[in-house]
Amino acid sequence: MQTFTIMIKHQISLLLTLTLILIVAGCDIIEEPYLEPSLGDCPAGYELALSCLEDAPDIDDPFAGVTIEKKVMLEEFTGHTCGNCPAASEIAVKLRDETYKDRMILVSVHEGGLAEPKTTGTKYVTDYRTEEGKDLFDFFFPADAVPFGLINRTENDPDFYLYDQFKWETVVGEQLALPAEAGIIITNCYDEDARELVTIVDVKYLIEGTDQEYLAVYLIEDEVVNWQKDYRLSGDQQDIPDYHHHDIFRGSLNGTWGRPLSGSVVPKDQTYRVTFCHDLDPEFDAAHCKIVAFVHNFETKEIRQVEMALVQ
Amino acid sequence: MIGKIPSFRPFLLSIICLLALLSSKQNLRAQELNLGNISGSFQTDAQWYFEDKLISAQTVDENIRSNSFLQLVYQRGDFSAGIRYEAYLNPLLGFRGEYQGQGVPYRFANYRTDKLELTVGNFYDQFGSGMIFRAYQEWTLGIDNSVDGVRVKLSLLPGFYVKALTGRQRKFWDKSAGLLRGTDAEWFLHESFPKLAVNKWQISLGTSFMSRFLEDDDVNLILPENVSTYGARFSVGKGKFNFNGEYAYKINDPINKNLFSYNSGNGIFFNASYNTKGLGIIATAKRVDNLDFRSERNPLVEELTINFLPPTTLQHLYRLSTLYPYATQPQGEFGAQLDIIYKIPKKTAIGGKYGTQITFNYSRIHGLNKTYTDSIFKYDVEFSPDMDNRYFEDINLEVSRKWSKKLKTTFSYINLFYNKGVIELGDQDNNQDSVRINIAVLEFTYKLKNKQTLRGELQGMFTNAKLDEDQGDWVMALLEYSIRPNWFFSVFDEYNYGNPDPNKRPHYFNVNSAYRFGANRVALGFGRQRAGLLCVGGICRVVPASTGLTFSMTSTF
Repeated sequence: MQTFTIMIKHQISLLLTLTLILIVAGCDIIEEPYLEPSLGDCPAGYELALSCLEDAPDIDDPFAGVTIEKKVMLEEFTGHTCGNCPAASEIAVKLRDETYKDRMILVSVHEGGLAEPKTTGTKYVTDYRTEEGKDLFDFFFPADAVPFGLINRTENDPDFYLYDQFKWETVVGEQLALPAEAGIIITNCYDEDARELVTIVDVKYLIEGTDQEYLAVYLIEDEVVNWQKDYRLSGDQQDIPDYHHHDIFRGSLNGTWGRPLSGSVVPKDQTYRVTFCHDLDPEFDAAHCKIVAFVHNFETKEIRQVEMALVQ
Repeated sequence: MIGKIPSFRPFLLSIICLLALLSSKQNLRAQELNLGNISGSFQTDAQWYFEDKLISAQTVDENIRSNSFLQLVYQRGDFSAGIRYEAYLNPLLGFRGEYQGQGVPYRFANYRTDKLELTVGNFYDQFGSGMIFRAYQEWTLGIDNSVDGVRVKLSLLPGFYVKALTGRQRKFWDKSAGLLRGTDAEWFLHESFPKLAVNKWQISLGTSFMSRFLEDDDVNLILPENVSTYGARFSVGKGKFNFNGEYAYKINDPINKNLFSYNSGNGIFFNASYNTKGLGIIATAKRVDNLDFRSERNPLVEELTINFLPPTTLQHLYRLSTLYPYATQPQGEFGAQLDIIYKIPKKTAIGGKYGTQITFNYSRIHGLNKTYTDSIFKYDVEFSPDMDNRYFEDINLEVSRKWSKKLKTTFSYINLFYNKGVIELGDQDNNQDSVRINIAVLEFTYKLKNKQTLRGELQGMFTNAKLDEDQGDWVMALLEYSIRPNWFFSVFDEYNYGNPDPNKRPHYFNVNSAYRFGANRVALGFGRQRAGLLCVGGICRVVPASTGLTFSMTSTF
């Protein structure tokens, strides 16, 4: 009996030790704060990012006192040798500056055969194309034809997302009439000497999202003066040397489609903060650069909300 | 889609190595001509769908769909190995589309002696009541959360059982991202100390631990990668009395289901019973708070559950009473149940010549009072139930009496309170959309000559619902005719005569037949299946309405 009791004690000790090891190794108890430090892809301790976090809204409630209104993104696909494009661009710029003002955000994507740079001569030698722009073009365009536009990446017809410029005003207006599904606040901090940019994006969902909610952050540059063909003019005048290109898509800070906001369903009223660190290309004029951030449903591609902020 | 089917070469090599290592005795046996034996089972369920606009039943492009299974187990001495082939071509409506495809998602090798059991591959298991861990298969619900990994069971001393396991749970044709590691120990004192057994004592103590590792892939939240649940249990029985209970605790586990709460979770379960000749009493109580434990953080339906919360409500079997089943609320509930079975002795004035059995059951579930204070990530919760937030209540009485050698009748009355907002919509603060239901059932069984039996049911269900989406009152009649042991025929009709919408008062008419030969059964049926919640053990899934021809076959060999 005594031997049996000793064996029992031995077994219990062994079990308790094993369980204790598993409990210690198998438990990660998290204390506040529960949110990530929000340095994103920035290096740990990066001063510009840390100071930018101080400029950003209070992380506990970044949208306190903020009125969220619906905004719409018009992605205009264009090309510098596209003679029909300036007419479309004029419509886009008018919508941006006059009709809808800051409630419509313009992104001009140069892509397709008419955006290819010339390899000879001095005209049209600049390449505005980007890898992300090609991804978008490949996905949304059934044929190589510009100008066309995407409006919040909503479907015009089943599996067809493109709108010609004559529909832009109406469709943008229709989209703006819908209730806002999310809010976005962009905080940019730019070091002019180092040409380093820190972008902090706060997102709040006003609806219950899916597990396919993505945040994408694009860089655009306004007022780029260079060659553009315009068929509305005649003869040699069609090649305009000092055309003002608007809001040229310069690439994405986090991939063509962005990154998931969460690994799971996005609950209503949930806020997210994501931080990006980015070196600005020396060719870009920081004074005219802007950050465009938008959230979208990755499956449907439809954009829920978009926001824009100047880099400087 | 063809699933990720594990390669069999390393699996077979593992079996061979295992056999070689286990014992020389086993090797000697291998030289004999005893090749062991193979047993198995087969099941197929198929349906030909028809469009039926009256009940919003949809058809499918392929017209016919089927779910099929074949399980084979090889046994030789202490060794066994098996596989299960599954084919969803395509999954029957109501089953998750992710099952589409065919393959062998379940295979195992097992070596078992009195003191040792080793399993590699897939296995099912349970710790205690399941509040910490339960891997099981319930095809009615489309659930299979088997673990694919390694399990060791030891019983080195009489009455003392230890097991440890690690692996990943099945996720349709894939595996969960989360990795499970767990141990369980159970000590049956009456086996270790025979004197206890002599004195009719049955005492056991147990403890369990289960941990899930899952990478923190959230850019916004700091999520725990190692989440554990642990707890203890006991059972004491002497003669006619038995009392058992279990407590489980889970550390912070922010997941979709708990809206990413960083609260810890816990659950407590007690069960007391008294059984004597002619009388049985069972009382059960359970409180759970934030105890939904999954292999991944995203699942919102029934998949990838690591634990199981024992129900404290009766699982009704009569068709109309299954229209309002209760689904366990792992985010928080406080429930209790009382079950009394009394048999009035036969050959008495009240009991009659053959006796009368009375079964009374009462259960009631309430929510918990939770208050979010400073943060959306933490809440305060009271231990006591929130008496203003009733989820479910069931009062039912059943009287069963045998009138003669041929005739037996059962009368049932069921009174339900059903909080639709909580149970169907998952809104735990919804205390408005409730329904009170009265159900009466009369069942009779009449034995004819030559092993023939006639069974009938008359059911009526009456609700007080003011809700637009509620279907209102129903009646149902059923007649079954069977010739043992081969033939079975049934016809029944459910009529939703009280639907608030006069255009939605269909008859759900069904005819079924089955033929059994040996260990095989073939069944054919035609009719309408109503939409609703299908629940087993408090776990539910939504089934759509359908109309069609059904065929099923089961076979064991």
